[in-house]
Amino acid sequence: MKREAQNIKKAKQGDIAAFEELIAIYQKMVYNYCYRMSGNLHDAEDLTQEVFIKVYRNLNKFKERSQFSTWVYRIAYNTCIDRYRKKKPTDRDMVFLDSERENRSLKSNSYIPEDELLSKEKEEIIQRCIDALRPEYRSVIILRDIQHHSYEEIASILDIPLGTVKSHISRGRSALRKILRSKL
Amino acid sequence: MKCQEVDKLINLYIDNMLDEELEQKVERHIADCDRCSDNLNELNFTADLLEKLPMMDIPHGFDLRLHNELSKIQVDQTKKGKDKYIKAGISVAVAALVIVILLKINIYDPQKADMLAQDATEEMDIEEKQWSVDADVSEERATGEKDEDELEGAYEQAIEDGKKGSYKTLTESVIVKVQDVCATPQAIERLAIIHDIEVIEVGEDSIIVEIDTVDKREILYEELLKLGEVRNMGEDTKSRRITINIVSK
Repeated sequence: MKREAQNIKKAKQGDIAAFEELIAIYQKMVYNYCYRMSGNLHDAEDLTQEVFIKVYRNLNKFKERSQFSTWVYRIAYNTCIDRYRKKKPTDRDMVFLDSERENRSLKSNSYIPEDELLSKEKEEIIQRCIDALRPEYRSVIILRDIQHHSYEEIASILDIPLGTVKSHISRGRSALRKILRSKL
Repeated sequence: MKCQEVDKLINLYIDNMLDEELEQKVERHIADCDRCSDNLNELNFTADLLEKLPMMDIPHGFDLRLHNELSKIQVDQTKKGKDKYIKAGISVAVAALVIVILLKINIYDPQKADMLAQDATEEMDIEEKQWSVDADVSEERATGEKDEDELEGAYEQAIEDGKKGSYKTLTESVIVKVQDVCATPQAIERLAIIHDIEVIEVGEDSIIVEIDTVDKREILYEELLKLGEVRNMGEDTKSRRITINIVSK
């Protein structure tokens, strides 16, 4: 932790090397969060880069009242939501149709072993079901059930009361279960 | 325990967040209830699927691409600094010019001017033009300062009113001074949606909302206070439409 505080101090003065060391342990988590939020790897890379540029630019505004990781996640959430807002809703519907088409073509590909094919296919379906959730639910499900954050952490990342986290988790899970039931 | 109660607790049960007593009660109910045990199984099944989703590796070359972007930002910031410096230099130069011209006009003798009137008409024209340009500049400055004063006044008034516990001072336009990078118009939009406040327009640094009850006005004010310092800008305290401008501290 001491090292982190040192790196934050240096990075605030524009030390890129210190900044890179500071964010090294969060990159993969943020990338995976953005992937599950956006539903595709290309957007995920783009979003992750945007997140860390924002973190770098705004580091002076980080007042160390919260944990650095929480602050980074908060920026990641906002970045994903803003991107989602810019996209027309129809774009997202299209993603679902496209991926179903892709799945069909994958099925006919005999070079991929049967087991792996099934799991890849399932994985894709699960992701599309996550995509279909409302962004607030999607975010809590990713944070809780995929990335295993505590309820308290989620509350501070999303800046919502603990009670709201509980109800989002409960509603998000039951919505996801319904969608999965119809797709699997 | 009834099914309804179990429904409310089941997610906390899955996440090991119940105390021992409640946990046992839930378990006892589920052991005897097919509906709730099916429910639990399905939730566990979903959780299991999510658990099995793979962690993706950061794409090759990401670090380098990010590094290049970060380096550009540093260059940007130095450039901005230089721009500021140049701007400051220009204002100093303009101020000096104003002083020079003012002095020149002061020492200008009207009688002499009369005598030389015919020859000097052209010259005077030029000077007058310059004078009027400078006058515009100083007028602009004066107005700017006045605005600032009015702002201060409105702000102090807002603090006063805040102390009195009245939130009704929220006028048709406010400035929210924020420290948090995440206090974006989109963040306020989300807050508005949660509180059932209608959003009219979302700009880059501002958002316009419409408020139809005093309660919502208070809620909005409270939410804005959480984000940062709120300054009332307008005078119409009964306006339904409120423009919220976000500026960073």
